Amino acid sequence: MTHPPHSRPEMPCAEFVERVTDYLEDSLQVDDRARLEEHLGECTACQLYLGQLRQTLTLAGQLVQDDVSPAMHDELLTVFTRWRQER
Amino acid sequence: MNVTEQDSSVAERRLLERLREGDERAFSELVAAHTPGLLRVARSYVSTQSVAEEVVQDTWLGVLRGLDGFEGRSSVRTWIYRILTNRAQTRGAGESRTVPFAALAAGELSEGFTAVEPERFLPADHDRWPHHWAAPPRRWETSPEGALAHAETLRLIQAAIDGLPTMQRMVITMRDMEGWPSQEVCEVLGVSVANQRVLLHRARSVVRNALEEHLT
Ligand SMILES: [Zn+2]
Repeated sequence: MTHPPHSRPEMPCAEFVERVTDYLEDSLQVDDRARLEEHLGECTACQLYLGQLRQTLTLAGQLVQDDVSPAMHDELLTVFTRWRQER
Repeated sequence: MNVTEQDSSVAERRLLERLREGDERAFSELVAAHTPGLLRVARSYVSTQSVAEEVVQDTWLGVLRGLDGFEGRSSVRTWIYRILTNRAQTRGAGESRTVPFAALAAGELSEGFTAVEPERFLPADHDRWPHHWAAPPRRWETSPEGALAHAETLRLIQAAIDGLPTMQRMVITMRDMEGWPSQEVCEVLGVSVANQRVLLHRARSVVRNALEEHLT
């Protein structure tokens, strides 16, 4: 591990990985946030973990949406026309 | 609500006004703006693409028929997606009773979970580093420039999301794929902010693990 022995962080890595979403969602209590940030400052493994999690979110946002098929678009217009006639 | 959201909600309300008057172009605009997202969220709940398409079609009929009843207490998007989730639940339930999302969520959250396998941490009685990494995360071998590798990574993410329990899949779809704020996801799914966050946590952790498996 990379922590110097005298500055042992109060939040262990196993807790960090469970609270990291609360951290990203900005929903940690002030003390927990400080404990987490203190740990993060000292632990390169958890820094890497956080970086990977952020990368995961970015990549999920790059999944492309399927375009609406022409057939579906036509059906929706039929739905609309029928609705307008019913009114 | 920031200025952009306010502008877009004003624009959407105008669009609804035109729709009430029977303007087909207004319908086309709304359909173009929301149908891809609706399909994705529907697909995260029902089992096949064709059922998802039926549910979305049903949703648009519901939107048209519900126009006069929409009082603008939520955003247009939230309103449309609520119609979607109602239709999807009715459709997904078949003959059995519909399980509300909150109950589905409670079921998923009653299962034990760790973001990372417990064996990857040192034991509680370790003399120096209890609960610290024994097997730290491995660096990912990615070349973001390689389009093929990138496409493969995205396929992996989609596969990992497809394998999630329903509520986790719905939440990560809305939050990370569609980019919604948590509050709106909670409104549409009827789950608490805290539960939504735990579902998101589980989903993201599982997807990260899947990437670690394949990228190292
Ligand atoms: Zn750590």
